[in-house]
Amino acid sequence: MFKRKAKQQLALVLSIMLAWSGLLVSGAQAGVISSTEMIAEQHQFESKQSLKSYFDRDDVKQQMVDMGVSPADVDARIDAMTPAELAELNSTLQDAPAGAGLVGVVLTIFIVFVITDVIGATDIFPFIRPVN
Amino acid sequence: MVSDLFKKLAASRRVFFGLLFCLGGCAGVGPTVPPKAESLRMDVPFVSQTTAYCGPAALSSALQYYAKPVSLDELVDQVFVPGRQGSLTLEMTAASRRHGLLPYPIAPSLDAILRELDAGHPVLVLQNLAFNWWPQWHYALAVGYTDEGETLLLHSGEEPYYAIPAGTFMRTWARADHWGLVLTPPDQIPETAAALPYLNSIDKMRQTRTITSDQLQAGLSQAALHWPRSASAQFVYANWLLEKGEAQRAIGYYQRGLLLQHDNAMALNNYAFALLASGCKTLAEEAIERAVALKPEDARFRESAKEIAASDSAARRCEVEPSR
Repeated sequence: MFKRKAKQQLALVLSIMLAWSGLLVSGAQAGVISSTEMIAEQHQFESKQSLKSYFDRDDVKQQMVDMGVSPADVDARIDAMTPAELAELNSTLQDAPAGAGLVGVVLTIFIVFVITDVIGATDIFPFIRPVN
Repeated sequence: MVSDLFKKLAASRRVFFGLLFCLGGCAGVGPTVPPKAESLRMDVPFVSQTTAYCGPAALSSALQYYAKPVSLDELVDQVFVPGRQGSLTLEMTAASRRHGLLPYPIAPSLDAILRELDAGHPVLVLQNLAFNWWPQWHYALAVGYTDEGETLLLHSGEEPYYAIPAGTFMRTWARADHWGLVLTPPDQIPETAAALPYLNSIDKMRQTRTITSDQLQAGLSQAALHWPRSASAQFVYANWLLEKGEAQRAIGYYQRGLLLQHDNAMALNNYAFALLASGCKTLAEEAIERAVALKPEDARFRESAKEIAASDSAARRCEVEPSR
């Protein structure tokens, strides 16, 4: 009896998680903005930024050093960025996606991801090939 | 009530597997335009990822492909952020420039990736391998495909030529907002490039002084040829020629661009200075008057008009054919 209930609950959790992941796959997209508009805006933005970038630079450097980047490397790393990119980095350094690959997966959700890998919704374990 | 419903749902195997089937995507996902070959396996050196260094590893592979041997360790010092245990997209972009590759943001489609691969350009991609609520960010380098593009080959983590079904890849890529870069030498226009984004990418290399003037010359002159219907491509090349002191040649490109876009006041302004530098003061005055007439509220053009009016008259004879 207990076993059956546990099974049902597991199935319930799995189906909710799966349904959720499916919904998340289709990302929302806003109206298309033409490149012309974007470049024009970018240019306006960059001229406003040129003064601010002087301050951004110091901010970014400090933040990066705080995050363990060697002070000797910092200047060279941000030299190849435009003022707009510097400003963006300054505001997103804490939470922008940081690509790392997979480091440590908790065992309890292991099974869920095996299944989502099998159906091809995710690709966490390279050794699992999707069924389709 | 609700829990009853879920119990029923969970108990019903048919519904459960039906759900699985739908979410998994029923048919294989493929390109809308088939790629050139049945399969392609580009000869790209593989650099294996250690710890969380997928960014440096993917970048190192791409650099080695273009005969720029930069080691994994060196790149770790250039892009890895210990506090985030990963590498940021902005830094990946900057590091590509630093090593002389043009980072061109790829269009968010499978077709675009396959076209670049067919053209011999590896594509650096960011994937979210797990979920939006539990993101696992990962960089990989697309280096080929099989099954006419229904499977992609990635240098990924510790796996060279890792085969991933296109449908799965597209889902993991979409969760990372389709972030991806075509990496090419700056004077090689990416296969899928459009004029403005290409000009923008190359201009960022100019701003950050990560491009040689020969490469800039080659890139911009090719862009003007490659996009003959793009006024911007003509203007940007003309600006470069004018900056280099080749006013006569610049005039030709301004005229070409102005035929396509006759009401561009900024281009008319620069055209006027090119004319002035070629000793054609009268034509220069005509051009700047057109710019002022188009944008009477813009002080820059009025200043230019004053400057041109006050300049010494032609030191040499004007030999320029007026446009139109």
